[in-house]
Amino acid sequence: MEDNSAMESDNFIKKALEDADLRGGLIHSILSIKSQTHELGAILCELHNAGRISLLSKTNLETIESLNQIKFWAVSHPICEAIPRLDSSYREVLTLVQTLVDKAGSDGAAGMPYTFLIKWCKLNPDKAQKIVSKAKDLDPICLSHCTFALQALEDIELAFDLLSYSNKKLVKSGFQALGRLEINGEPDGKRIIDKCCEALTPDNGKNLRLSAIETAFKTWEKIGASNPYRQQEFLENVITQNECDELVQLSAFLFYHPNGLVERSIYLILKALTTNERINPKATLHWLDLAMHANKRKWDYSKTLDAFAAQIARLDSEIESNQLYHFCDYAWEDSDNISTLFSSWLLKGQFNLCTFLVDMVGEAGKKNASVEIKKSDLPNDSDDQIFIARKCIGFLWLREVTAASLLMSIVKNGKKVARQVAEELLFNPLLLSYSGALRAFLEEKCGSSSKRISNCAQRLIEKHNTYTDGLKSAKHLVELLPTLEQRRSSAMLDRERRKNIHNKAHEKSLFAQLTSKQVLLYGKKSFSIIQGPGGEKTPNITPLSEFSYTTEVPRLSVVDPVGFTKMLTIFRLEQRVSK
Amino acid sequence: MRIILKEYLASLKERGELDKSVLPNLLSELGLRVLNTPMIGTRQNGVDIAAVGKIKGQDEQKYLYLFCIKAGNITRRDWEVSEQSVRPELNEIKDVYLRSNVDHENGTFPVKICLCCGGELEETVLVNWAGYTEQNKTENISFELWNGDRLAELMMSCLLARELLEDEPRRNFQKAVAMVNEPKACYEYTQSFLISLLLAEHTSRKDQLLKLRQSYICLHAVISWAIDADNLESAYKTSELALLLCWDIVRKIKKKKKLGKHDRSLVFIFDQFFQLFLQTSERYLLKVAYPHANQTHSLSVAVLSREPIDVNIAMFELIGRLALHGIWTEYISKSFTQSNPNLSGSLTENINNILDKMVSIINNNPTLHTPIRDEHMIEVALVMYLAQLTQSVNRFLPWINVMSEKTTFALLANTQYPTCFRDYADLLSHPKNSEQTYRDDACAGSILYPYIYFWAQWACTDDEIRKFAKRLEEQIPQCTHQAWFPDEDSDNLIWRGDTYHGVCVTDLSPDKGHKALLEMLNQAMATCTEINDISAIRSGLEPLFLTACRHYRLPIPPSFWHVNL
Repeated sequence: MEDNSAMESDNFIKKALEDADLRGGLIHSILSIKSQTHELGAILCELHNAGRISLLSKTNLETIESLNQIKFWAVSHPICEAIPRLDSSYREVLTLVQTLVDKAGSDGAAGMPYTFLIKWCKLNPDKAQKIVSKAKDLDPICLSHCTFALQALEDIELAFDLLSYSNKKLVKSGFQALGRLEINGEPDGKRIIDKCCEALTPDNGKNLRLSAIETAFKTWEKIGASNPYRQQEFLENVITQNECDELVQLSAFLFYHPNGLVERSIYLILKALTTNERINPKATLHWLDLAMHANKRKWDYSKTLDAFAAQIARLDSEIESNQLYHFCDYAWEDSDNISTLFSSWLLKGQFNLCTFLVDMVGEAGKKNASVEIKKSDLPNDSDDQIFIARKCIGFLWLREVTAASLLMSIVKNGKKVARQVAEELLFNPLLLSYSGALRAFLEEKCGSSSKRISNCAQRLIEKHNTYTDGLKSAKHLVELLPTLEQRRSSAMLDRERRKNIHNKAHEKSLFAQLTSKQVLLYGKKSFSIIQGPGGEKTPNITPLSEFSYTTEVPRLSVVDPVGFTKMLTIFRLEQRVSK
Repeated sequence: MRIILKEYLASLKERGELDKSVLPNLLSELGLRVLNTPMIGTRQNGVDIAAVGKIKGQDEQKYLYLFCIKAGNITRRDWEVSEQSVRPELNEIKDVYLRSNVDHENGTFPVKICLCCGGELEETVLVNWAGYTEQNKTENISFELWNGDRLAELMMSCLLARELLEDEPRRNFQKAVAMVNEPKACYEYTQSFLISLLLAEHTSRKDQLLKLRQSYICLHAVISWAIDADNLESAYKTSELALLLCWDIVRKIKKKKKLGKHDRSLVFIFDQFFQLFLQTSERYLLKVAYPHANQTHSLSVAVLSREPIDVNIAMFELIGRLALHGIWTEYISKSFTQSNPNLSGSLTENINNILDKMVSIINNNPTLHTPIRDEHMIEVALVMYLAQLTQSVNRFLPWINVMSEKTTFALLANTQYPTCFRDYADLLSHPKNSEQTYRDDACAGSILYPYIYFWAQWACTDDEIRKFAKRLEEQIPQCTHQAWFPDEDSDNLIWRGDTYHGVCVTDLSPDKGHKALLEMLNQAMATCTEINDISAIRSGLEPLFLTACRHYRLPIPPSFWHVNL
């Protein structure tokens, strides 16, 4: 019974598609039928090969081009599935693939039709050969898809053959195919690398060179890091050319093809990224962060930090820590890492680097985390230690516990004069500004096993007690209170500020961007209906949860706003005096 | 009203408040002639106030009234424990005063010995009082008890009766009393009743005196309630206002070798207003400033606000009041140099204490390094004026130095720089943005920068002065740097709070150099001489003029910037 009904359904679908194609509405029909069957790709192929529909007709291709993105992605998949078994000319198939890829634009899945094209080429080797031979005749559509035909044919010699042609697009296809094809061990690998080395001449143009570089990386990965054939020479050659795009590409290959690289090559690339001033820092950071995730256990941390620091310092605007998630994740994993990071970047004193550190311990990162700078990471010179202490205040004054923990590191491990400065800064401005979490942190430090830290914390607590006693003694002075009107006005301003913060929080919220918004005026739970896969409806009551964030207004910004701003500005802007 | 008065009288905790503030005015309005007012430290033989005359509606003949005054309730302890107790004092009046202190002119009148207190004679003492009066009354000597009830009744009948005190000032007085915990509202109601009593056309000299006394009693009641509520802000502001309004009447007394009776009464009442202001000021500073001056941020944090402007306004207000109190104390000290060197010396110690406290407050409340309101030049100028009077300028030059740096840094950093905006809402959101058009608006004019620049010659290095002038030129090129002088209308207007008078001297921009500034100021001082016609200055009461400037927010004129001592 079930088989019969499935057959009936298939027939109904086929008839509907056939009729639609006759009316010129095949693509829209695919959209409406899509949810009724999982075999739509096969049905389309069958109908096309039987001549009942013309999937590759000009009308249908134009309809695909005119679809909006949501509808396009809905029809794209069944059409792609139909490609491998289509009985059509290579030109028609290539035109369909080209249309699908062009329409997909810059989407990450834009290259999906190529996978199905390779399958089609494998099933139709003669037609694939034809694509290659037409490419050699510089037929544009064949030239664009030659790489996939070569990939399907798995003929390495055919790929090598293309390298001998003068047309750069053809040579590029050859390199691309060599990068993708399986090779027969080291000899083939070396042969490819040799060709890649040859291609690194400036005359070859950007695209060809980039293909050669990519192929070289892929090949090293295939032959293994034990045999980095001509790797140093090749990389030095690329680096010496100082082409920005190629250097960015190197950072991308640290992520995509790290396995064939020896340690020296990695540092060569990191050094190039650190020293070259012209490369795109944002793109480089993106790749480095991904590479960090893939290779974090292998790289020397301080060299990695330098490479990151160089890029962040070059950015025109500040970068948020969540944009370098893997980098931050690795830093927080180990107290040694975080110590090295804070010490080296605060010592550099560069604005972007320091604000990045602030973000790492801000709302997006680990809020107010305690960070200790190890003795080995602290610079020897007392002036440098003082410099770190002042930068710490200049940038981290809103993250009082982090700032205090860093200053405590100087108290613990620093030189005498730096220890004094750190202790003074711990009191003024930190302790004078914050009495909440910071005070609790210092009270905890009174019991530290380090005598320097516990003594310092005790002295600070004592001073703070005297200070707060003074504040308490004047608490009753009603004479100094603002007038009723003043209090009303400032309450209104405060309300406006809170509203703005609320709105900004909504704008920045990931949840708010992903979900639709509903405002509940009453109650503390919400009722909704959840629709199951079969269309069944299930009622659901969800209790509301609350996210709140509290922060302490630094007292100095109220009692000495200009003086405090001046102190912070000086601390932020001052530069290390080179000795 | 009666309840308010009764409560007020009972709350007069210090004897001085009753015998110096309330009774003399009351007795005068009752129709008695006050012969003497109490002096502390001198032997009075039991009599605090002596008066002679006939109380309207009560006495058929003239009496010699002798008052023995006690504060609050009279308890068993007050009756007979020490020499200052009631019974020994009554005996002293009877045995000593009547025999040796009454002159021939008044000796013929029958005597009424009045035991006067703001509260009640407690039940435990009533029998003693009855027994004592019964035992000691003679044909010529009688005894009366003037307790809070009686005093309130007398005040109601002769000072604050409906036919004497109109509805509007009466209502405003009652509201002022009710609002002592909201200083601004209390000030506004007090201002209303004082203006309607003092500035209205008086029908006669007697009416003028009545209104002055009514004002004083009402003001005193408001202040007593404020003290009772432990909120001295209302007390300070209202006493200062009343002093200025009272002067507006007294200033019209024509200078004569010997003042007439009416003028003497006017001067006496002004003196009471003045004493009240000084006492309130001292009480205010004793509570607010002195105990907390040496503690870091204590006063700033006590403002209990998250808005820097609130802290800034409160601290400048405080330092201004402190400086003014110092100026008054110095004035009084000087006036006693010859006649009472001991008192003068003790006052000099007070001044030194005030100077120490001012330095501490400036050091411990760094908001005072950066005035946000341009008109805080008034407070800075008062401090520097006192510093000059006391040869302490060097102690305050570092403050001027820091101010010159921080006020101009604030312009660079676009954070809380001095502005001529006066509206609180504008100040609260200042600076609204960093645009030059806003900044030109916020700094359209300045009295502060020329003043700082004037002192910078002594407080700053040449480099610092250049930096100061350059920053101003670059950041607020459109600002009109200026100073203010009184003109011929000022004396008629300033005491009532009218600020639309005077001469504004411009072209005081620091970029023209110090010499140019001095030349301009000297020329202006030589031309605008009307300051010498200001009544307070003519009478040698310069601090009163400065009080008016501070109270009504008028700039301190350049004549007070640098004093040739």
